[in-house]
Amino acid sequence: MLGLVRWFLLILLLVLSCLLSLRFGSVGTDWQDVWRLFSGTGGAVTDIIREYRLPRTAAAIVIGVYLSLSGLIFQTVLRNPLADPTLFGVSGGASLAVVIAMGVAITFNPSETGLKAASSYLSLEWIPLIALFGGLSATGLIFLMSWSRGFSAIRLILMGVILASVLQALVMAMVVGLSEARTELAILWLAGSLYARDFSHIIPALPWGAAGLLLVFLMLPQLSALRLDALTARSVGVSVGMVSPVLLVIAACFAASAVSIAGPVGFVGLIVPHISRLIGSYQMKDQILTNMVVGATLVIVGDTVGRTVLPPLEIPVGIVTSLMGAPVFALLIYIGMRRNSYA
Amino acid sequence: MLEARNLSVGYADKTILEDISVLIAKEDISVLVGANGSGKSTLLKALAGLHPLKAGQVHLDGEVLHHLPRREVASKIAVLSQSPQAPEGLTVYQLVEHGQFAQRRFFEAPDPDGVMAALDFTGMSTYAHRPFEALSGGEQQRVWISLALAQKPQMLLLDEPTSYLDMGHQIDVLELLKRLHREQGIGMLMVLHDINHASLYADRIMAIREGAILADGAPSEIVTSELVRALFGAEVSVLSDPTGQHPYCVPKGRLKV
Repeated sequence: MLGLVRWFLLILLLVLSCLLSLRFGSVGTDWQDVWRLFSGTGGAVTDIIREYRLPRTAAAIVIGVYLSLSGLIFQTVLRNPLADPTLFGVSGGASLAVVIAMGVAITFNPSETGLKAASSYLSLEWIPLIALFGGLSATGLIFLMSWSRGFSAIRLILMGVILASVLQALVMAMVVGLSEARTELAILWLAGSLYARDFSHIIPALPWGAAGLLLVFLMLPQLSALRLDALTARSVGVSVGMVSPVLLVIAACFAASAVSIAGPVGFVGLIVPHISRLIGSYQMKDQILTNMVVGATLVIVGDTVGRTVLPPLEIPVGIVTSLMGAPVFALLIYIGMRRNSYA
Repeated sequence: MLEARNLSVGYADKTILEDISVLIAKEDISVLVGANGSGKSTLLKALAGLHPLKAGQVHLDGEVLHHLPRREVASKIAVLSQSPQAPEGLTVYQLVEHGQFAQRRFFEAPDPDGVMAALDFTGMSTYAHRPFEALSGGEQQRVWISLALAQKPQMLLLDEPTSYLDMGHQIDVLELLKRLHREQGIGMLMVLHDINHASLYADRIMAIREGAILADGAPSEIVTSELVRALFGAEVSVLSDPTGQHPYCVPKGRLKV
């Protein structure tokens, strides 16, 4: 009964945030225009909603689902509540690849300036692919560096943190190296933005996600048993040494696809699993479903807030989720302390 | 039947177990005793396939255990480690369900009867829907035993199942294990700290010292003051119980070792 009420509220919140994200933006629209989107009658204003806001909302859902699932898997498999998929090379690798590509585009086309240079010679359509490549290469490198006669969570975490900081430094060096008038697009991308995303960015990421989701549900019993200590997990029959890397690769692909669409959107992968644990049941299946809904809602709200607080300026969704995420996370820890589960 | 053949365990510079060969029958309650750091826990883990080997093999029903898939091992051997960790927030029932991992196929739901039967046997069925974390140490230990039971194993390997428990609960757990052995025919191999518990409950005691088996046999055959001195460096008088089967050690003092 309680479970049903909780689900009803979660879905209601998700639908509500979708509608709000269609309704509000830098161009003034009202609920009638949103309604016309569904009824099929509509003019120029409804076209704005259909062409610009609908794909953004869809992108926000996909990113929210992917990042939060990825975070849940990382935290479960690595048995570390601080594990955030974007910390393990995915963000750093994607960022570096994109910034390098921008640098190359600018070098070969020195006459143009600013946003125009980068965007006219490095088409936005290429960025997701470049980001995906960079993110997955960095993750692969971390796996390779931490693999020594098998898999170890602590080695992986340490290597991930080390490589992430190296990549971060390289990205900063590259950004500073691009002449200052040309860093706009790089910075916008690095902050994690949904600016000008359309369905052509989202659709390529969907088959991955569907396959990954199927695998995660197939491996639910394994994922659940991995929450036991490693010795007990193995003695109930889980091949921890084999299952863990497989799950981590799936999670890394989720994170890399999300980052490829929007850039490194921070904090979602870290905090959503914690929010889900606090509001959801502790059964693995419920946790995964709650994660997906909460993750989508959070990113949609973050994006909507980002583009409505200071119109026509846009605050990238990655900055909003980090700004919202940090206090929410602190609050969660506080609640957790009172409940004694983080003692 | 579980068998170790010329088993050596250790790291490059340190040997933990040296050339151990031993046969563990499924019909017995076998107990490993020894001082801290003697290698008894390592031997238990190695026999369960949960510790890498340096040399030798473990055979489970004639097959090399380290080559078998974990799922198959888990359907025959359940292990209760010294300080198992439960996932956050689960109820007793939800935790015990994890014992069915090895029996389940893709998309197959857990079997509630199996879980409840395991909880019934350990007397924990009324606690099924309580949060595991809210239970006392003794109750939690019963839940872990239920989880092992839900695995439907032929053998149960336990690493110091009575540590962290008070005297009453220690006896509770040992009586429960004895009943499990008698009524369900599950073979037991456990590490026990207390040689008197070993003497009282074991069919067979294996005394481990410095990575080798020092003595092996029924309690009445091997528990002597000489053995206790060699194992623990403690001076004891050995008393006999009325049946003569379970010698009892009363400490006199600690030797300088």
